[in-house]
Amino acid sequence: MAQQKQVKRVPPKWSLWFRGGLDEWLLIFQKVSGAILVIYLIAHTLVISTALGFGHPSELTWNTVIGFVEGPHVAGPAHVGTIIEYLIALLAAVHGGANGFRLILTQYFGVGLPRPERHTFPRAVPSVKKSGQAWLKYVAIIVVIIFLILATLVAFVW
Amino acid sequence: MSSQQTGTALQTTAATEKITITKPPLGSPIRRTYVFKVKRYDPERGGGYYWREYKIELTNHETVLDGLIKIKWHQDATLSFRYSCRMGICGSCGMIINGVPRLACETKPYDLGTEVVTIEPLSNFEPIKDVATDFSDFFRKHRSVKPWLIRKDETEQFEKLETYYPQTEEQLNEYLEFAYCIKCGLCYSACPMVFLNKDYLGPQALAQAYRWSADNRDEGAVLRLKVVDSENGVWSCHYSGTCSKVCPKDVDPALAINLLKNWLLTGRRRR
Ligand code: SF4
Ligand code: FES
Repeated sequence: MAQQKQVKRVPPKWSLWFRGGLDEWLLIFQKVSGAILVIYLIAHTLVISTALGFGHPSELTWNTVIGFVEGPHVAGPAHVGTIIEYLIALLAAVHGGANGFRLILTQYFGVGLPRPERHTFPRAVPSVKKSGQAWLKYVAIIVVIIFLILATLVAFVW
Repeated sequence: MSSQQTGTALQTTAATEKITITKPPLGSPIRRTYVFKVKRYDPERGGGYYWREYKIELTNHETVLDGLIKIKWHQDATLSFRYSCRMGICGSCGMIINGVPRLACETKPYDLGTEVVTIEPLSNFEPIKDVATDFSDFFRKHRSVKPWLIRKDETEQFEKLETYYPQTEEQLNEYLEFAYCIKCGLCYSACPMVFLNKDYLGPQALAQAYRWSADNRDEGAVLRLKVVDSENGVWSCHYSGTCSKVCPKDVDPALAINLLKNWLLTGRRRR
């Protein structure tokens, strides 16, 4: 079949992602947080390197760069930029960590993987929806929330 | 059960989007008119996809496939779709019905509960014409995991078989769940990773890799594990779990993939 196709295959419906439960969302956040961490690492290295005098060694450069990154002042040590930076980095690190840990538990240690068993067809509950795996997902999300609250307190309040 | 006599609507569970099958209501069939909105494609016409609407009267016993057949007979003979068994066993009639990959012969418009039924070709597959899609990639991937019994002794496998391979009930249960796959491609169509990585083997092939490797009569697990232990094998699975949620045969490919990952990581099959 060498004939040229005029249309491409279409992606799966996004609506599927709204009915499936948590797995799809954890996946999206895992991928997005990974990308954020990489971008953050590069940007962070670049910004800090100006302070150490790499590239264009002058105090002026550092002040301009950090001023641009931090943005307008909010209160105390907090600038708009720092808050955004803090949220992004924290969410990415904590979510990536917590969910990554969940994936390791499931895939390496087999936590929540049921034994294949005699089928209860039709309409058996798939393993991803069984409680054995569901609690891990909730724990991952609760850990993320707790860390977010703690880190916010440490950074801005205490 | 009063619901059987009065013929109340069957319930869908929003969480799984699977339809809870109860006994069909007794009494005279309930007729309703549905609008079938079909996403069509004709390679000879050019210009990509286009939508057509058909009005069709169906009873609560008739399926989406029945509706499409009626449309083809009485309204538009050019409408193309693939089907064979009409009883959910051949896996030909997969299509996206109201946004979810389903078997047309197992889905009743009455159960869906919407007046407008949207029908689209399976995502992740190249369309051939209208709702019929090209499965050659899918079957090529299926073949690549060697889905057959492999014996170390080639004479035994290909020339003379002199022994039976006994199997206990427990040994059967190790893989039976995955053996129910009808190769309908719904899981493959729902998988976001198949879309992102065109060469990813996909949930169906990987589930079959596990099914044959977990069979006590098989000795070819090493060969299959070599195939699936790659970037286009299990490691392209990022665990969205959508495959298991749409499978019409409850095969649970996500479980098979995780068992394969577990096998590769720990070096032995989880029992
Ligand atoms: S695993 Fe299920 S959804 Fe996938 S091809 Fe087999 S029967 Fe169809
Ligand atoms: S026609 Fe065979 S599965 Fe639907």
